[in-house]
Amino acid sequence: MSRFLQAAAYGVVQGGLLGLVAVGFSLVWGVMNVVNFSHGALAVAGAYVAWILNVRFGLDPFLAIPVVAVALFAFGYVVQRGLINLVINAPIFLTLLLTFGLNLVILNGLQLLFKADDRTIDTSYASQSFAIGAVNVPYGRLAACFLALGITVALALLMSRTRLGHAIGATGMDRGAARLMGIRARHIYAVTFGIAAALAGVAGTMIATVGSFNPTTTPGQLTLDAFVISVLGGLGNMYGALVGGLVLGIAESLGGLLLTGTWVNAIAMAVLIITLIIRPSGLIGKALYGGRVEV
Amino acid sequence: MSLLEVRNLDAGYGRIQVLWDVSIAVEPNQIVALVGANGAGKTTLLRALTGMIRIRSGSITFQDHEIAGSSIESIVELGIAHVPEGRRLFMGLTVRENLLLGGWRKNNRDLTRVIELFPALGERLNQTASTMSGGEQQMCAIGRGLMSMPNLLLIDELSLGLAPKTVDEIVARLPEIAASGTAVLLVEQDIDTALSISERAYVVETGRVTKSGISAELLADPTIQESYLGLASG
Ligand SMILES: Nc1ncnc2c1ncn2[C@@H]1O[C@H](COP(=O)(O)OP(=O)(O)O)[C@@H](O)[C@H]1O
Ligand SMILES: [Mg+2]
Repeated sequence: MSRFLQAAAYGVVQGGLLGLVAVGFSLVWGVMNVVNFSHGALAVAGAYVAWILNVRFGLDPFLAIPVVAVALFAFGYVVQRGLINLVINAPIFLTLLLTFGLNLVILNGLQLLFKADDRTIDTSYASQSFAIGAVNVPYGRLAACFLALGITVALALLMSRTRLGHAIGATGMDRGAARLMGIRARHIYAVTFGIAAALAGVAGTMIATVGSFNPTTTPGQLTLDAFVISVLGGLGNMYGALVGGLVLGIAESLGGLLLTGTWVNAIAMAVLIITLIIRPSGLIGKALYGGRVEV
Repeated sequence: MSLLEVRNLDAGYGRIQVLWDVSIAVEPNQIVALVGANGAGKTTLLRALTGMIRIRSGSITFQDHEIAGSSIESIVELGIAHVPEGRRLFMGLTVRENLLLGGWRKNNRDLTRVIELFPALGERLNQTASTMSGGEQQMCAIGRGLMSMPNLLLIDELSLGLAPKTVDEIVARLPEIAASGTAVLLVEQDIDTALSISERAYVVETGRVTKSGISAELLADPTIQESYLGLASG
């Protein structure tokens, strides 16, 4: 029983983080109809930025977050503006191919720069924990989870309450009509991708703090998780990503009790398939951007 | 000097040419109607005016600016608003959010003009656009267009899917809009409505302007009704 509770607690804090990994992926998919294969790579790139800042300057990863966010936002903005916008009207197959290529470029670049070794950002508090009954909760994981929840809620509020959020939503719903409002769709797309990259980078930083990462297996795993969670939560649905993240986090954690080694990776696929069979529109309502209209 | 002057415009979609040698003009504070059967090219002409499709040849001057080839955004900025066919409101957003997005380019957040024009919208500012009646949606779409404080408002198929009484209510506001400095170029299938509210009109048939003149005179011209209705019912 206590093993079960421990795994459940771990699943919740991990799930919050996974929600943050997925929320940007879901946003980009929902608004631009781009399935971004390089999302996990962006998360890992963010982890390296924080890792470097920590190794070189001793900067705490939580304090490195603003730097990571700004760096990844800028990178994401430029990638969308200069690259993905060029094929944004092309069939989804082409954008898939492009982000797949982008993924390879980023990963090879990271491997050249940092080698393929497993890395982790060491902090004094990561190994410390407190106990609730028989359940141990590490401070670092709990803080990362709360931060992830906070950022996801902030993004949801940005989308629902602010002018920029409405412009992003409007461009996602009907780009032609949005442009008729004078909204520069290409800029809005770039901002959207920048936000997604920034959030991925922050999530990567947190993952690097509470666990470890490398440029070979981590990106693919994160992209797959983001994909599954986005389908679970509904495209472009921020709170859906949060719930989807928790579901996947708990499923993987509990599954880890029963399954060994690489079988745990199959859990994400199983969750995806079950979702598609039972509720193709996702767990929470329907996707925000059902009726897409082009110019 | 006309507010809008289109000369010898050719335009279409990809290789398909739809508009042939189209010339029209709109004067400040005027209501001008564009009538013609389904498929004549009225929507295509409005799309060409706001840069939504590429122009092959010809010129479009708006307030002394040549706008043929300009981007949608810069044309909106110059002062043309386009209420598109089917209205295309942002359905998941509220009336207020839709209106504010209309004012995006000019950063206009003042809803008073729109609410004075359509008091029904004022009572529904927090209602989701998709839950409103067709007439209210059309008011919202026109209001959204006005939020960019345009000198020219293009309205595509104002009456689409609306009850005649609702159409009359909305059309009755057009003279006020025009008098307050926003000329209106109105695309309408309902030829009687269009010709009774406008000062001048153009008849479009298979991509060409075949007739133009004072609306009241066109309304009295039996051949117009015939050719137009003949096409429309065929
Ligand atoms: N997106 C499009 N691609 C290709 N042809 C189009 C497109 N939209 C309209 N057309 C064609 O252009 C012609 C004029 O259409 P349209 O401008 O919509 O007419 P109207 O608004 O007068 O009913 C029609 O023959 C129509 O088939
Ligand atoms: Mg039309």
